[in-house]
Amino acid sequence: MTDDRLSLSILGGFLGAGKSTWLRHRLFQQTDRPIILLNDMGDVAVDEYLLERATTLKVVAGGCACCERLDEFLGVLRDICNERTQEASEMRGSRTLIMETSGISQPARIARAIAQDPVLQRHLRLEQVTVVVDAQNGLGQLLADGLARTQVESADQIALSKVEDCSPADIADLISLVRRLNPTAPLRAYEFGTERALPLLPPPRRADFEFETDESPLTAVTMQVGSGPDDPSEWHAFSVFMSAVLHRHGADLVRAKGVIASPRGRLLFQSLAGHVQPLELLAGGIAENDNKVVLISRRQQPERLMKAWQTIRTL
Amino acid sequence: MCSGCGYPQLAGHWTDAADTSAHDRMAGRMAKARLISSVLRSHHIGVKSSFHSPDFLLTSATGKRAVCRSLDEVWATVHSWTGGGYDPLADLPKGPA
Repeated sequence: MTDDRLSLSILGGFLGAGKSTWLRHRLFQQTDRPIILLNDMGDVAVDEYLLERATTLKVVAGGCACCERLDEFLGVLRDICNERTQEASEMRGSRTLIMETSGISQPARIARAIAQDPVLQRHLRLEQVTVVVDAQNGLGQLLADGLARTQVESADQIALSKVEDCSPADIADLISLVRRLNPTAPLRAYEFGTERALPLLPPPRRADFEFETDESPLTAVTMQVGSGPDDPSEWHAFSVFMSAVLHRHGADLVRAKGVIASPRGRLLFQSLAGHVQPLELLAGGIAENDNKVVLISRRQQPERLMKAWQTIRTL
Repeated sequence: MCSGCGYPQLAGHWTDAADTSAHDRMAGRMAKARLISSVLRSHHIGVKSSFHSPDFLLTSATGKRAVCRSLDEVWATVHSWTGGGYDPLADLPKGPA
């Protein structure tokens, strides 16, 4: 008897690790178009624009799927299973479901909740938990953040992203730390979602690691730019404000992400730990959530960020 | 251009990413310079950009001058001149320029 259950893969990793980029490029490289379930901490799930090759895309936004949005998330999973059951078996499309978690989710908690749900048990087969680790910033994140370490510990396989810009010595140090947290999970390196052979690595420079835990809570706030999704008039104010905030508070502004309307078109803006990634010019028409930027930060109260932005907008 | 997904990555400093021509770039810089001058008025720092130069020119009330290629350099200079005293989340300008 064949197993007709949906194959579920959970994709986790810390804020800005490169989960969506990894998944986006993986989708371009495979013929199967999976169902994607996307979870985002902010009210606006920017990544939904990037995953257009999915058969079906469902979004649970505005909170983490492993805690505050767990019930909603399990409900969406049941809906997906119900819809699939109602289709005639020969008509059933995708056999694969990929869940991209928010950067603050603990994949192990999600996997446990699914395993304990009697309905989902019958319809889903948990294939694997893949955790993406940013090769450029991962060492610092793993040393500083207990949540990032927990994610790596729960992985069935680890995907090192952004290896193209790292030296062999830096990769060796990171792998040494990852192996200490998770000695058994297969580890592969990727450049924009394409697997790359690791270079010959020297012995790691570090064997002992001192872990810290930043207890400051992460808060998310959504910043409105322009008067609507197609209004490019506040691009200059946005670039002045964000560049000033990132310069002064970049270390606390863990993640910022959004699609901004500009005179040139729709620009994908992303920053990680104060560093702005090269902007991308997006194809496609204006979307409802354009001109909304999600800021995820420690210590910077959302009210302060919003008040400062509102002041700049009036100048 | 990423061969995998087709979305082009934009070169140069990210704050210049919206500009499609040299004219756009200079006009954008002038608009940003006006805005930054308003923000820094209480610190007595002025910022200018013109069609004659692709840079930002910063001047202080005590006669300091600096030429900055990007907004990152502008904020680094402001940080240096004010001894770290400028905080974009705390030093809010009073109203329209």
